[in-house]
Amino acid sequence: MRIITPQQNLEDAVPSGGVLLPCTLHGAAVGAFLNPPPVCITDVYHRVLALLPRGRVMVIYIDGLGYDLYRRASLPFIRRTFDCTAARSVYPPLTQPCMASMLTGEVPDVHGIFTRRDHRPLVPSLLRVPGSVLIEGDCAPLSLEHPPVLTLPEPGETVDAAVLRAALPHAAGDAPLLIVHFHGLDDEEHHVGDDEKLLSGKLRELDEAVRKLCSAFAGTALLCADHGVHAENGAGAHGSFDYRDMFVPYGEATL
Amino acid sequence: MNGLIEDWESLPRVSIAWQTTSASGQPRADRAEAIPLARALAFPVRSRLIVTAADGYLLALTPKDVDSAYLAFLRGEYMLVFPGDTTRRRFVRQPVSFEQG
Repeated sequence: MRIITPQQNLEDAVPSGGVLLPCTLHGAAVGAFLNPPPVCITDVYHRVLALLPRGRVMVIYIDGLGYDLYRRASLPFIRRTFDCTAARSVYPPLTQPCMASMLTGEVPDVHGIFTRRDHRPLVPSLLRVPGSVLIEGDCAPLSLEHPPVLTLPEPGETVDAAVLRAALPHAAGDAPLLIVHFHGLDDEEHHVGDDEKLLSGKLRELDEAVRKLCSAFAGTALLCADHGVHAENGAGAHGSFDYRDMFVPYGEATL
Repeated sequence: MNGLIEDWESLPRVSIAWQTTSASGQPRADRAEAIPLARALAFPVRSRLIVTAADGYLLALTPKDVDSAYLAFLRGEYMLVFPGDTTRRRFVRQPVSFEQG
């Protein structure tokens, strides 16, 4: 059984001392976290519900930003504003199961989303919050209580620029809960892997997009990702119990 | 399927092949005889097309995207396939509706 920390895979080596937290799927362990960070992506759901009575909440969701890449990447605004810590993702680290965990507060065995082909969670999500808005790219990975705002890039525009363009009026508006899903990084990682130098243009774009969103918004912002990515055969892949896939950055900021 | 011409299933099929990344990272190759979506649609797409699947999945397509999409009959159901999409992110199982967005 593989054991992971936010910094490495330990394969079958079981270190003496330390706390092991099993990660399970269908009731069976797929691996274990050694000295796990206390935060899990399922906490996004619970934090949002706890914060909403105090004011507006914005969730900035960066698809494919693993904690390992976050540590290596140049993300000056995000780092300064959110000072993210490592959070555990869920298994399998794929967009649909992880997004469902972030938005329902449950693990896949409970919400029922296990693969890219599953779309309808079995339990309520944050989209049941009246007036909530989810901004997506060209597709809705999940079918939730109400449809998201779908965006398509204009000629010459990136997918994330289109999401930002759609999100800014809502950030400046009065939706109590705004969830903004940037998926351009994951798309690019599938082509080039997790090398921060090859991804520097996309990371710079995302850092600037987050800065603009935060400038337009007043309330509490949460920044989180669904899963990370590891390099494999010259490209990027995810879905494995690998520290690069299974840990993501998590941070909060009062704006 | 709403939004397709009446006899769309009798349209000539073309052979398509695609390779996608599976959850394990191993490439997966598939091929099928498929119907170009642009030929099956009952209307020209003006700015965008919204595809809805039986399970509620939503996808927005540009007119250019429509030109690269195919309806393939795979494992007992129709699937909207984009041979150039290595992530399968936009693949739609059991599309039920095509509407102007």
